[in-house]
Amino acid sequence: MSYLVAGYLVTGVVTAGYAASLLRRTRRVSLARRGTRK
Amino acid sequence: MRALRRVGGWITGDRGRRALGWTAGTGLALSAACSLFVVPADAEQGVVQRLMYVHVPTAWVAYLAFTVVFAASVAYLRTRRTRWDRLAEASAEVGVVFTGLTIVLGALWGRPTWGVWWTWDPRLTTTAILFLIYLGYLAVRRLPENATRAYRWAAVVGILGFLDVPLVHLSVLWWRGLHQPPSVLRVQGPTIAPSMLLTLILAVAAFTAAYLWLLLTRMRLRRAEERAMSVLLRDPVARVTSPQSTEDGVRR
Repeated sequence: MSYLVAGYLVTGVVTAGYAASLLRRTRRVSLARRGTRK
Repeated sequence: MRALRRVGGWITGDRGRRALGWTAGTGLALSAACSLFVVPADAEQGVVQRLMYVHVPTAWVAYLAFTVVFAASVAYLRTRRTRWDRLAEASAEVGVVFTGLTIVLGALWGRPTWGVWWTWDPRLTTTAILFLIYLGYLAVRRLPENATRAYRWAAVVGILGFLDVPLVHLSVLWWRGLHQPPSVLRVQGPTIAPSMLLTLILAVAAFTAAYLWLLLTRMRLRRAEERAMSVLLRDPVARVTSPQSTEDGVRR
């Protein structure tokens, strides 16, 4: 049972973590570009 | 053809990408609920067999991602259009994440069923090689100082690296090992129960939607980086003060 829980947890954390990091990086780059324009 | 282009344009746009994200999220939640609480557990392996509903889809996404890298790399070498390199890079990164997940999930399934976390089984070994090849692909992109040379080198690695994908899939048929042979993608038809097959198809569809969303989001990030770099190139003050700027303005 613990292997099953660990498997689903790892999948959820890695997928959601990667998605969140992509969104965060995109936002940071866009903000940096706007800052550079000023 | 025009209708297909319109659909493609809508999906790659902000609204389409958002809708795809919601579809993927809902699909993943639904698939997790079905695989954990609805479909019966395997009679021999027990509940741990439910790991199949995440292990198989992540492996499928890895195959799909590296097939896209292959096709986009061929297209890049033929046309030299940056958009193909953008697609190949994004797909390779997502593919590496899902190959890593496949290996970890395989280890978590292998420990209670085989008694070991890892063994040098042909399927496991070829998958580990696949993971290293595409890590190498991402590293190669950072080696040359010239951006177009980096794209070209990456495209060559993306094409050659793809040779390992059919090897991974066929390894269970060509060599003897602990890993079971295919139970769905086989000439004679699937060998698993219909309810399990349906749940697996739902999981594969949800993970494919998640792959597409991650791919589009990663490509959006690359476009944002390219736009930021072009602003830096136009503004010498920003270029000098930016930690990421380089002599010729090309991001390493």
